[in-house]
Amino acid sequence: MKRLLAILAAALALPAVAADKVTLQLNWFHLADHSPIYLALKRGYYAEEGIDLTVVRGSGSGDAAKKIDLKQGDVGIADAPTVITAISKGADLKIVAVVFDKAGNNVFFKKSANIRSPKDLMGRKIAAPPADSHRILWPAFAAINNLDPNGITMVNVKPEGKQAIVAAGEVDGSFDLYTSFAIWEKVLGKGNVGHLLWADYGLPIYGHTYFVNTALEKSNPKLIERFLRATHKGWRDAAVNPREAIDAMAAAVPGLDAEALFKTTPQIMDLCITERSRKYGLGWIEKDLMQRTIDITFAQHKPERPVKAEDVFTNAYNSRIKPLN
Amino acid sequence: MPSQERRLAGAIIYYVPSALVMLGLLAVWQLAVDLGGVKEYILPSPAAAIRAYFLPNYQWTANFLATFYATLGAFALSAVLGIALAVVIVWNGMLMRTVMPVLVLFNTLPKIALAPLFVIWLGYGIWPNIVIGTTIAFFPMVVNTAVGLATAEPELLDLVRSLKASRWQVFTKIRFPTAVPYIFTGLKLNATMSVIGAIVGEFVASERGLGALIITGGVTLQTPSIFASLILISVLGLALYGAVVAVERLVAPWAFREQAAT
Repeated sequence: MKRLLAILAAALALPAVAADKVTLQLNWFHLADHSPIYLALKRGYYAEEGIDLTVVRGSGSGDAAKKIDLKQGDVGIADAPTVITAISKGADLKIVAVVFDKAGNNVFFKKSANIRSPKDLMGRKIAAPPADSHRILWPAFAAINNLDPNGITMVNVKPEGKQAIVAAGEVDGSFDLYTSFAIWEKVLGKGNVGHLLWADYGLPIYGHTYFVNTALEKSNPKLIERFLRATHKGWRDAAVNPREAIDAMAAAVPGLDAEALFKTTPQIMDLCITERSRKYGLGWIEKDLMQRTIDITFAQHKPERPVKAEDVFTNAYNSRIKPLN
Repeated sequence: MPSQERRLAGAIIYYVPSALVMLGLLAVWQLAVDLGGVKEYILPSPAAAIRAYFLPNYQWTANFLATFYATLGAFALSAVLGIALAVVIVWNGMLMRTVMPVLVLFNTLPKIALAPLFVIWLGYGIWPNIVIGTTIAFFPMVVNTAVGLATAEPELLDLVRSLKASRWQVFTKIRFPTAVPYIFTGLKLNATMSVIGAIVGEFVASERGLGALIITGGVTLQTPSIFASLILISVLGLALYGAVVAVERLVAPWAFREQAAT
C-alpha cells in the first residue's frame, strides 16, 4: 500500500513538466519595489505556476523597452510613457499590468530650499536623470500648474549621482521617484528632505508597468497570466510583510543596503495599493488614466504614429489578486 | 605645373580607395536598414541620422560648442601640463623616480569611475569637463614627451658636454628638438582622448553638449540623434587630430618625414 502511494505521489509530481523559462527585465538596479518579486520566488509562487524565473538588472526604462522588443527578455518593467513612446516608434509591446497605480514622479530638494509648491521651482536648477520619465512629463506637469516649462534649467545627471549633486548644492533639487525617499534621507539627513509628489499637483498618470512583446501574447498568453498571478501574490504578501520581502531580495542580490530599502517600503505600498487595486485586483489598468498618460506623453510632440489606449494595454491577463489590507 | 598636377593625381589615387570603402559601408548600412526592416529606434539609417540635424529641438550649435570648448580646454591643459611635467621629471632623476610611479598608478584608474566624484568636487559644466578630459588625455602627453626628452643620442650628449655646453643649452639644442616628434605623437593621442574626456564628463552631469544629447536620446529612444551626435564627435576628434598634423608639418617638417619614412 505504502509503495502504491509512493508511486502515486511520484506520478502526481510528474506532470510538473519542465517549467517555462521566463526572463524578467527590470527597469533599474534593485530597489525596494522589486522585492515582492523575490518574496514570490521565495514562497514558490512562480514554481507553482510552472515558471522558472530569471530576474535581470536593468539600466533604464528605454533599455528595458528595447530589450523586450528585441525578445531578449519575456516581461519588462518600465515607465508607461517610455513604453508608449516605444510603441509609437514601432516597438511591438503591450502593457499587461501596472506596478504602481499612482505614479511616483516627484521632486526632492533640501528643506532649506524653501520650495513649497510647483511655482517655487521656477528659475531653479533641477537635476533630471535621463533614466526616468520626468523629462518627458515635466512640460505637461508645468502646463497643468500654469508654469513655463522652460522656467527651470534641467541638468542632465547620472541617476546614481542625483543625491550627491543636490547635497553639494550644485543644483536646487532633483527629479526622482517618491519611492527613493529613504535614500534621500540617508544622504541629506533625517528631516532635511523636502519633496513635491506630482500626483498631488494634478498629474494623475501611470508610472511603472509590466509589459510583454506582442508575440508572447499570441504564442503563450497563459504564461503572462501565470506570471502576473505569481507576481501579484508576491505583492499581496509583501504589503503585509515588507521586511521579509526585502530580506528575500537582499539574500538573492548581493550588495544591497537592506535597511535603506526597507525604509522606502511604506511609500511604495502607498503607490501600489489603492482603492482601484482593492476593487479590481493588483495591477489593474484603467482605460481613462492610460489615455491621459498617452495624452501627456505626447503633449509636446506628435507621436510618429497615432497611439490609442486600447492598443497599448490589456487587462486580459489580470489575475484579480487583491490586497489583504 | 605638371609636377603639381602629378602630386594632385597621386593624392587622389592615394585617398580614393579609403573614401570608397567608407561610402560603401554607409551604403551597406543604409540598405541593411531599408531592406531588413530594422526599426529606426533600434538602428537608424545614415539618412535618418542626417535628418536629425535639421530638427531645431536638438540645438546642435549650442550642444556642439559645449563639447567643442571642453575638448579644446582639455587638449590645451593636457598639452601644457603634460609637457611641463615631462620636462621637470626628465630634468631631475629623483622626480622621475618619485612622480612617475604615481602617474602610472593614476593612469591605471578608470577615469569614468572617477568622473562622478569630480562632479561632487567641482560641480558640472565646461570646467569640470576640462578637468576630466585632462585626467584622461595628459598621461600619454607626459610619457611621450619624457621618452622623447630622454632619447637624445648619448654620443651627441657626450660631445656637447665635452664642449662645455650648459644644461640649458643641452636641453634647448639637443633634448628638445629630439623630443619634438614624440611630443606630436603625444598631442595626437591627446586630441582624441580629450574628446572622450569631454563626453565622459557630459555623461555624468551636463546641461548641454553632445554627450548630454546621447544620454537623453538613449532614454527617450531618439536613436537618430545619438548617431548624429556620434558623427559630430568623430568629426571633432578628426579635426583636432588633423590640426595637430598640420601644425607638425609646419613646425617640424623633419619629424614628419621621419615618421613617414618609418
